[in-house]
Amino acid sequence: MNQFKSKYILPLLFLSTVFYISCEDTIEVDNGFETPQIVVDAWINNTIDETQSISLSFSQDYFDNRLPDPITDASVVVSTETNTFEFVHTSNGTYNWTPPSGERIGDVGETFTLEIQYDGQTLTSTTTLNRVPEIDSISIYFEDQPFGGDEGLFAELYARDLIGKGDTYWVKGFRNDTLLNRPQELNIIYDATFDAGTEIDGSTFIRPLRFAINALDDDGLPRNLDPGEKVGAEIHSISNEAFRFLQIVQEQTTNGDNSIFALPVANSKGNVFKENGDRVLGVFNVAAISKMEKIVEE
Amino acid sequence: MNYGVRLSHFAYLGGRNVYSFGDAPLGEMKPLTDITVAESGEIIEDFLNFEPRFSLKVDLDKSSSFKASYNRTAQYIHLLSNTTASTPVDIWTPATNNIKPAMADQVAVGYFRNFKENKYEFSGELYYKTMDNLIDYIDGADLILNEFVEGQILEGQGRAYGAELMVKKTEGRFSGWLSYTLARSERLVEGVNNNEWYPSRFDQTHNLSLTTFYELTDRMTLSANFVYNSGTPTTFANSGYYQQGYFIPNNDNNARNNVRIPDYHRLDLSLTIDPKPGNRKWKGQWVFGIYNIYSRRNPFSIYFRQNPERVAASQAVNTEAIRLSVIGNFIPSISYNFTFK
Repeated sequence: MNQFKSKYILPLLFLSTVFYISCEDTIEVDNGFETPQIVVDAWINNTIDETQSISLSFSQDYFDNRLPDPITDASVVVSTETNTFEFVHTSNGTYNWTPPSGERIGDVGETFTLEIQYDGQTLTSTTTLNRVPEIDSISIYFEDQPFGGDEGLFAELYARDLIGKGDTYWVKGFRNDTLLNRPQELNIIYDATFDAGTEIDGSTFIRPLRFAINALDDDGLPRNLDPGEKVGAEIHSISNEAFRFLQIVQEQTTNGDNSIFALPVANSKGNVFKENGDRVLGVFNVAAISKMEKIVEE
Repeated sequence: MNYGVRLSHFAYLGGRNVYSFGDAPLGEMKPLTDITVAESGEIIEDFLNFEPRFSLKVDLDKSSSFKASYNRTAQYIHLLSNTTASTPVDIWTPATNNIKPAMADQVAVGYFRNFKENKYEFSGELYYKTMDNLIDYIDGADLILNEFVEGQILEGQGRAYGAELMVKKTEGRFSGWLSYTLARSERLVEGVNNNEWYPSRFDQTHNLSLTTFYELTDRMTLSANFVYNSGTPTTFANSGYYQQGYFIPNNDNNARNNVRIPDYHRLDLSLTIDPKPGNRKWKGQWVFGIYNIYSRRNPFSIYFRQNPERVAASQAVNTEAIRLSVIGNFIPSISYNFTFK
């Protein structure tokens, strides 16, 4: 027995000592990018007295890591059945329209048309201004199991979906007036839940969506609040098309987290078209907004 | 000369839901039109296929020959996968009422020759293969645990062709073989890649393998193994654009398999010491080896991602391509093999 040990155990130990070293490196790849395309970034709202902006730019190589090239010499007009609003280029591809004092671009239920003239082409899009529910409250409370983060004070947004199916919203969270814009923080709602097809309608937003107004840290975990900090939330009404667009944005911009289990590449489909019916990159949406802010107390 | 025919039959049996789908614009999800329940044992759909094959060998002289073959095969199971690595999430689907079995026809010709009293063997082969009813999925398909995945599947055709060369030395203190394959494997699916041919995920242009043995003494053999494979393709976003501060990946022209994974190559060395001759109860053999001797970080898979940091309005979102290597280093090994008499 002793002899067996000395002769075989040592080599067997060596054998089992396998150095599995897995590693991730950043590499250069050629993805075959060819032609920049026109991009329309037209998410406006009907807030009274607020200047509305539409941006035009070009798409770029996915790996360029830079801000886009602006389109500065287009004409941008938004119209309703009764009014026409001209958006004027200010700088860097941004076109602005400021309502006369005490006024706004339109009301819930109105249909808006966007028309852009650029380089001999006409791009158009049509959308409807949808309704938005009031925010009931922002509640701040102590949570000891906050979806993986450290325990502490967290916020939840209470609002009730409007009765009737197919309401879609984009909830923007703010922390000390900074917009929470990490891809993982994008929060979109279909009736009171994540998506269509749940039979849920007209109820309070479900908990993960209420909780999504909290900021995430670099590890994607919710960060707790300190007394004195300001929590803000805005609900923007969006069209169903814009919701589908953002749903794919959400999936694709966070897809790197899935590494080798990544979902297939999918394109977000916008609602702006050329005269020949070809789809242009980007979305035209007119939102109604409800908002609330709250200071975290001691 | 050799010929034959195989008759294969495949039945898709009940005890499950049967889905029917309507028409959709190319490249979009087909709407579900009907779900019926098939009883256990009921045949939902069945397929019957003749699979003829034929091969011919002609001896040109004592040391060389010529071969030619044709065969047709039917395959009743399809692989649906979007990752480039072989992961546990490979999804297989059988032929169903919505998916036809894949059919392949292959022709091959080859030339074989031995040199120097059979010390060296040489072979060269050419093949061409066409495939029908291959499946692919629409852009943005949801492949995992999706009951209705058949509505997101597209059918297309494929072709694969290439040349295989091999030289082998079988005798002497120095022996080994060198094989090289030049190949192409492509697909054409309506609704994918702008309706143009694109490389399949199995497309590997060069595949080279060199294995050699050198007998140092009667008991010691040194061996070296080198492999080189071209990277297979995968689909990456080729462009991106900004929308409300978010940077959105986009795939112009619905390009498919537009990016190549980096090439794979590796050298392994080993020294084998055989037991002393003699009539003992057991015989032991030592093998000392080093795997991946120059610590090549070969890709297991690659993927792309964007930096999850919060960016200000005037700041660009950073993106990067990531190579994942499972073994990024050399691995020394010592093994001892033994046999009892």
